Amino acid sequence: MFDKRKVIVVGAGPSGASTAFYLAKSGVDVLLIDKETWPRDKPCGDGQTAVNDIYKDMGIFEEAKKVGFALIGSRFSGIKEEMTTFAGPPQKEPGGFACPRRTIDDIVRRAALNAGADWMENCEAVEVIRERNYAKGVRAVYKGKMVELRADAVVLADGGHSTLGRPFGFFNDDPELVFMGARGYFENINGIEDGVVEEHYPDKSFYPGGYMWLFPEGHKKANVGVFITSKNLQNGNKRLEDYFTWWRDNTKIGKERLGEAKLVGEIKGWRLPTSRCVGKVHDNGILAVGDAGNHIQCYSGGGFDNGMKSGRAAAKALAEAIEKDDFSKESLETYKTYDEEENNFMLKLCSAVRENVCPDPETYETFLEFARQLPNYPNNNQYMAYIAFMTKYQNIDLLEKYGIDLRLLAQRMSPGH
Amino acid sequence: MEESKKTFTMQTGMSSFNLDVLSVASINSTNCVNCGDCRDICPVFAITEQQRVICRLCPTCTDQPAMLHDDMVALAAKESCTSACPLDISPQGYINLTAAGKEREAFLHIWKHNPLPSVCGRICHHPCEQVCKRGTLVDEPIAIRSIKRYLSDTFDDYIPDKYPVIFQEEIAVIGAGPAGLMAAHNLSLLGYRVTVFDKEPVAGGMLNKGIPKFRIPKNIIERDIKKLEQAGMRFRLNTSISRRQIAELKKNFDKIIVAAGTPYSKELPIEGYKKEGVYTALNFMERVNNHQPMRSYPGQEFIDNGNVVVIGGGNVALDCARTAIRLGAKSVTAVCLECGCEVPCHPWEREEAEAEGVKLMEAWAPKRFLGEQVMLNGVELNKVISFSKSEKGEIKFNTDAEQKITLPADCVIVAIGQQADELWKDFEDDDMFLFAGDLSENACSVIDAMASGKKAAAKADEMLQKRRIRNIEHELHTAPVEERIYPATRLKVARPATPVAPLKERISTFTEVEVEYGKDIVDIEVKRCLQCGYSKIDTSRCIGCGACITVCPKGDVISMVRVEKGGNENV
Repeated sequence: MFDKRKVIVVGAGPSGASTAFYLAKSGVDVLLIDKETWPRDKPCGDGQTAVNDIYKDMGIFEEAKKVGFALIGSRFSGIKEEMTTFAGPPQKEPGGFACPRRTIDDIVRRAALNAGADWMENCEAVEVIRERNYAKGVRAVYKGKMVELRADAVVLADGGHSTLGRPFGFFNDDPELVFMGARGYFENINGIEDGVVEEHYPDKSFYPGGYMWLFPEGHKKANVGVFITSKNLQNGNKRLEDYFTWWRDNTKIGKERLGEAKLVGEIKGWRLPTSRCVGKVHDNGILAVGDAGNHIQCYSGGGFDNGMKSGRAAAKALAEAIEKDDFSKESLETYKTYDEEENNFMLKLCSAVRENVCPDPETYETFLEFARQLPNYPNNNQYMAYIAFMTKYQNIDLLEKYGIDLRLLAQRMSPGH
Repeated sequence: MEESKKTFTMQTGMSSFNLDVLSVASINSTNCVNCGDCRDICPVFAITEQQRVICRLCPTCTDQPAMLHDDMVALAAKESCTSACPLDISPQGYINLTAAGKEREAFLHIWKHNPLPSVCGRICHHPCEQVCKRGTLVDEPIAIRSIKRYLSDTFDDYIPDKYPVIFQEEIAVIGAGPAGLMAAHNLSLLGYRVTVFDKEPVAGGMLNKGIPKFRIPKNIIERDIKKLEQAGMRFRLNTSISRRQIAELKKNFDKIIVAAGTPYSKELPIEGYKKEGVYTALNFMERVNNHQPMRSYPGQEFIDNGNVVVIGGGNVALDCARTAIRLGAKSVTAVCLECGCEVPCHPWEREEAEAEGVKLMEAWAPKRFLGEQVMLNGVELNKVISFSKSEKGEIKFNTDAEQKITLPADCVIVAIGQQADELWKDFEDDDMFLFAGDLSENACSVIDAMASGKKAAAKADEMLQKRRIRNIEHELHTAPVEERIYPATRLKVARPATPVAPLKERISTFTEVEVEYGKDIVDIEVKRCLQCGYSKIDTSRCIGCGACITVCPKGDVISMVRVEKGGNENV
């Protein structure tokens, strides 16, 4: 009985922790392992949007609200550096939060532990145990000692660098879809507004996909970052960390923002595997959630909410599989179904935006021009503008071309962002 | 010749029966070293411990102030090294066995009572030395802990006998820390089948996690654990026990001893406590032990040449501070609410820490953590003007907002105590569960935790076998007047100083601070013992079973004497 768990979740980031949370809540014996000593920091994902529903579902909304900086609007500029603002409508709650990952990830993990998940930190999984083509647990280095942790099912939530998922084909290395990102914390930034996210597309290499961002975390302080597809990075002439100085020295907005700003700490980079829709995420006895399952949107780079929602879907599918006592690929197919229900809308929408709104600098400028003339919708956020631009201006049938059912929009979009 | 007989009536729960006693045991008080093994085994509790009075009546006899007769008698029976040891080990026993050349027997005596002799030889806070009568009445106390360490190091390759298997009952011990191991060891020695569960990959609990390497090297802990494994203790490591496993445990085991300890550090929820660089003590030690970076930015190890502030004034806090010094911190300051003798750490730990460069600031309370964004760069402190601590350990204090200072800090380590897993609260009333260690009482030291493990083991045995446990309370009696010790007849021999590693080497590496005594020093040291105690047999209760003779490690102490008519002894 102590040799074998029902489910092992590898990685205690938001996706892994939410999987463990929902599994533990439905009474499943689940073990959550992570290679780090917690709390730990992570470079990406300080801006968490569209998370209100799942935070409330997990009961951590109030706590997140306390530690995070509320996001109320967004501001964009293209290659001509003219600013377009999407101010959030007056609303009861923020559209998202800007919060250091060290803090917010720990809140999600604690929620999982409180729900009854078992926890082992400092336990680095190195290999998935496979028996007769079924995943039957992991081999891990636990505080310097090799251990074998057995389970009926394994959930991989080991992030964008996922090594465990490669033999199963979860790994994505399409240079157009894999982004590289870097971030640094800056203070004394001029021209930003509290609670307003900024995204700037000042260089040719930001098309399609990629931008400089600023997530305000406190007055005149922000998490400033850049992300860009690895294809554009390879073709370009700059290293990722050089974008900060290049932006400061060569653009008007960059000079205003970073001219007098001071870097706190260091700039840190990472890898972001994105996808256009829910791809291969399961196999016999194994599921991939979050970044390990490429749940990042290929235009916005957002994935915090997608990861957590894929965790919820995985937990639901696993609970059903446990009831049937069948962990085959066919039985776990339900995960893909639930995951598509949760995430496919945003993944596909972002893919459409990437192809139609920012394929090149000129189209993006046209979009910004178009957006500035839009009336103030009650839910005036950039996604509304994207949809309007694609359907009204470019006459694209999103349902036919991308399978995006706009009727879901009202339910799916969290207000504000 | 007709056998002379003595009759003995034994009261049991239901009825009484008579025994014919042919002979009784007699103890030679000069040879007895007061190890207590015969006391433990005597089935009728006929053996008691006597404490000799150290005579200080005549002012000319000693340079210490003279004492009244009644005071001397009261002092003799008040405390001794044997009664001070929470584990009931007899320091006098193993010291004098060593002096008699029976080092192996001395070590076995320790091992029987203490499954972690090498660990306790290093970090026990030695309550026995504090009450040593040589220290109070002649010169300085015997270096008991160092002798124990010498014995455990000498017999580090000793392979113990297997534990007996007498009972069918299975016992689960949750937590392989000092309390859990002690309970498991005692129950195994009694003949139960014991399985120890622990979440960590190695047994030892807080010894591994909470105490830095320079106080106990990891191989020392491993050495003690290996002996337990060789004796047949079963370990289930990497196994965390949560609510779901408890039902299974209850099905498979007859008794569950929970010694899960306090695995979580308390946080200090003041302004800015979520900043990068604010660590709790256990989190900090965990990172150090696993060679993990302190801060996630590469090349920004906060501690290297940084300012470290430790919040708390206990032993854990000072251990963290001393660890930070070894990691290369520029300055390390420990801040505590208490002042003077109220500072909760042991005085010798404070001395060593201050020698290594730790600054201890008394009577300051942290107000908030300062810094830009997520980064930390300082701590604001307020002066404490009043401080009180209730018996339950609740702390109340007032600060003066006017008096404040700001310390620069690249890293803050919060060491203000630990807390247990909430899970166990639900099982407190369950008969299946017995609690030991930090869960049963406020056991703030290793030896106290082990003592509570011992108590839990005795309780489990009592409940399973439905037998009355021995009186755990240690009784002392004042010896008759002819067994008096005269300090004037003793030469004054200074206690050898505890050898420590040179300061420079200490603060740059994680080598052990205290170094072992050599054999020559130990040989002199063991002869300093005054031999205050000895065992005495109440012949009117002795049934002549001879059990005491079989366990006596010395061999020349106990003999059987024939009983004459009317109960007189025939010598």
